[in-house]
Amino acid sequence: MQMRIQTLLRLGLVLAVTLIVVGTGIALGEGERTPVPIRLTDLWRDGSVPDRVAATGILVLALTPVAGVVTLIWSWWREGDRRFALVGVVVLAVLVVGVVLGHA
Amino acid sequence: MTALTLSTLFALVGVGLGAGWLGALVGIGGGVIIVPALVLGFGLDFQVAVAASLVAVIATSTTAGSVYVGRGIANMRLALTLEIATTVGAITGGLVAAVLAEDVLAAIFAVVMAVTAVLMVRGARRPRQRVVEEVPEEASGWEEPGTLAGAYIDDVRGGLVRYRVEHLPLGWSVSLLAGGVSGMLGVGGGFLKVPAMNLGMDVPVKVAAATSNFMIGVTAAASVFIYFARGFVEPLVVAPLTLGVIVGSWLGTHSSGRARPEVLKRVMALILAVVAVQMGLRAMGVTFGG
Repeated sequence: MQMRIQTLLRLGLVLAVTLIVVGTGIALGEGERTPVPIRLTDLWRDGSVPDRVAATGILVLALTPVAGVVTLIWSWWREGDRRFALVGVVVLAVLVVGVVLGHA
Repeated sequence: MTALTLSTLFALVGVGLGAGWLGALVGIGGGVIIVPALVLGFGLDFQVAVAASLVAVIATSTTAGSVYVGRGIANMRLALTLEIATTVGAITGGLVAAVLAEDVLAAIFAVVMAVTAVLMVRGARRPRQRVVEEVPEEASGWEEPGTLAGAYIDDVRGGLVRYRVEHLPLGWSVSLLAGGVSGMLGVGGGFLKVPAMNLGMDVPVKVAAATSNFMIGVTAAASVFIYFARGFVEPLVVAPLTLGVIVGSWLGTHSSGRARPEVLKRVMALILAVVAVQMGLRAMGVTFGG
């Protein structure tokens, strides 16, 4: 279980950093510019390519701990530790509520 | 904020490096450095700075967490049990911050920084001595399924240390508060959770710090989606900052053996006190350098 979480965190970090570096690199190549905010719902609709690539990297980074929670639920369920699998499900449900409330 | 030039980009990377390095060395998240640096130094809106800081907190947690979890020091069952309260607090804090005026947020931030500075100077109480058992060299820590108890390898004392967890309601109460502070101000909240776990719940300080480190990433994720959904995330501000934080955390983790934590904690406390005053003045409408 520990190795699974460790691998997942490292994969998420590497993927996020790659996207962030690529997005920032493209932005630098385009010259001086003013940073603009991006909304989660407009991630793949609005904004320039570097903004969207970097924002996707940020989204991957933000989803990495959430994926960690999902992996813990799955691991504990397989080990027969239903009590803590349920604890993980409650945390995941609260995280989902946070996303929904953010859009409200 | 002014246009993103090469020098601005390097300045943001520098802020991230410094925050990640100092945060890893003295055991607090970089949020207490990042938020005032972005607000006072770069002229960003408070909510934009908090959103950037929350992403940086996730980066710090993921970088260090991938090490601590692999060594079996972090107690994942304890982490998710406390996260029930922390995520609720973080979402509440994020929603409240979205409607509060900037001067109110700056005032709350100043108070939290002043408290953190005092806690850093006072330091932790002398840890309780625990029984150390001999183990094979390649052994790692573990958790007991179905309970919050566990064991970890203490490298300094050279053996296995078993522990149990007490006073869970106290942990939930502090976690709720820590989550609220994190979601509202963009800080990790470890300065509240680690002492609560160590002194209040009888969790060894190394396990408490590693568990808190994993928790702050999940907590920050709970509120960062609120900021992301409401348009407070500026990717080209967050990106260089996050890269700096990841490198800084890594450097801090690997140079901790050579640093003198007590001196660093006093320097950090002084910085926090000065910035607390600046944020307090900003809350009262006094600004520096336009």
